[in-house]
Amino acid sequence: MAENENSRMNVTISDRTLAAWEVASVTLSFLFAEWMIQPFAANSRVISAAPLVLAFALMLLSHQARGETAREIGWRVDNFLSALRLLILPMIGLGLLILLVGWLSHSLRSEKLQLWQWAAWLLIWGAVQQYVLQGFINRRAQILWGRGARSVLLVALVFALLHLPNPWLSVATFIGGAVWAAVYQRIPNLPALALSHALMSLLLASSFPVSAINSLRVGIRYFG
Amino acid sequence: MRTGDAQHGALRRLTRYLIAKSIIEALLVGALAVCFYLTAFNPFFRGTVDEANARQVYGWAVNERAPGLRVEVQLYIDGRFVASRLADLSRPDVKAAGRALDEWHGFSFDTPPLDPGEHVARVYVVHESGEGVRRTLQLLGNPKRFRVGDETGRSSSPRLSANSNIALSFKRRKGLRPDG
Repeated sequence: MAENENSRMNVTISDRTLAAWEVASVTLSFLFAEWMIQPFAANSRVISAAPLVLAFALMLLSHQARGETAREIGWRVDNFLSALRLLILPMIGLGLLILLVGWLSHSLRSEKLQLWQWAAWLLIWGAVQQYVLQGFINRRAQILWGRGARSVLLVALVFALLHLPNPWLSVATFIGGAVWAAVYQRIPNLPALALSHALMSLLLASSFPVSAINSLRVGIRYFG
Repeated sequence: MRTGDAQHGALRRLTRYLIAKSIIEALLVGALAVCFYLTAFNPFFRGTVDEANARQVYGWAVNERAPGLRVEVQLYIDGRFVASRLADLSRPDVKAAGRALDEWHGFSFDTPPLDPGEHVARVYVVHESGEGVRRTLQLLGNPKRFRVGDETGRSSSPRLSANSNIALSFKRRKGLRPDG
């Protein structure tokens, strides 16, 4: 019977559908951590870590399932300088724009720049964010739509979404996310992107009015 | 090089993981929402507003999780705060009905002077959670509607209107406890 045959058929998901699901799943895990864990279970480390652990496990499993190596993902140094060369112009442009906003709003300050500990933390944090954003989401976006404007836009939108409801940070991350995604698609190098991310974050935190960026807080903590 | 079968098997494992992850996260969200609700809004409060009229509003309130403790209640009339007090008056009937370990769970508020007409009294139980971070109000029983006639309403005292503190300060001037 045709019905029985249909019921026994193996349902397979296309690679593109799977990639879209992966992007949505990882994005939701981070949104979940930002918006649900903070108000409901911020004191519990186990619960706080749960969505992040699930998301990172998914990313690692996905790399393994798709046979992606660390080098392919962008953990490499051979193209570090090439990636930096590609990043330098947009970074100078955006950096000057950030400084101009800081100068016009009389909010330029240097105390954050002296905190080397904070700068080191930003570098590590930038590496983690760039890995998730480019090493995973950008690569899955490319499976979905290939290289180009659509996948770059998706990465930028996801990055901005994860920084809501902080309005200035969302705009900044949308622009930054688009630049970094475009650079990654040409030269996949995560350390260069992490360095760029840390420098731009430092500049942003030292230039934009504190009231505008609200200590770079995102998710439910933005309101706290 | 990975064979096609190995690749296919790995992608199937990935799909299964995605399904499991979605289920786990949905359960986690649900559990968090329920836990938060139960923490912020204690489900163990019992009680009722027995009567509300132009002279007083009274009833009883018990926290069944801690029946030996007194519960804080707040009176609102027509949506405006009137007074707060502990439910610590004698109510032998509450104990006799097996709703509390002792009889000291009653409350009574003096109704403030009100304009003639229909009014709604609501009594809320106060619950603190998150080590004092949150204080929530839970409606006790049902809202009680009552009428204030012209004679009762024709008092020279200030009416409960835009600012209920007026009514409270009036009671203080008369030497009455604001919480009844």
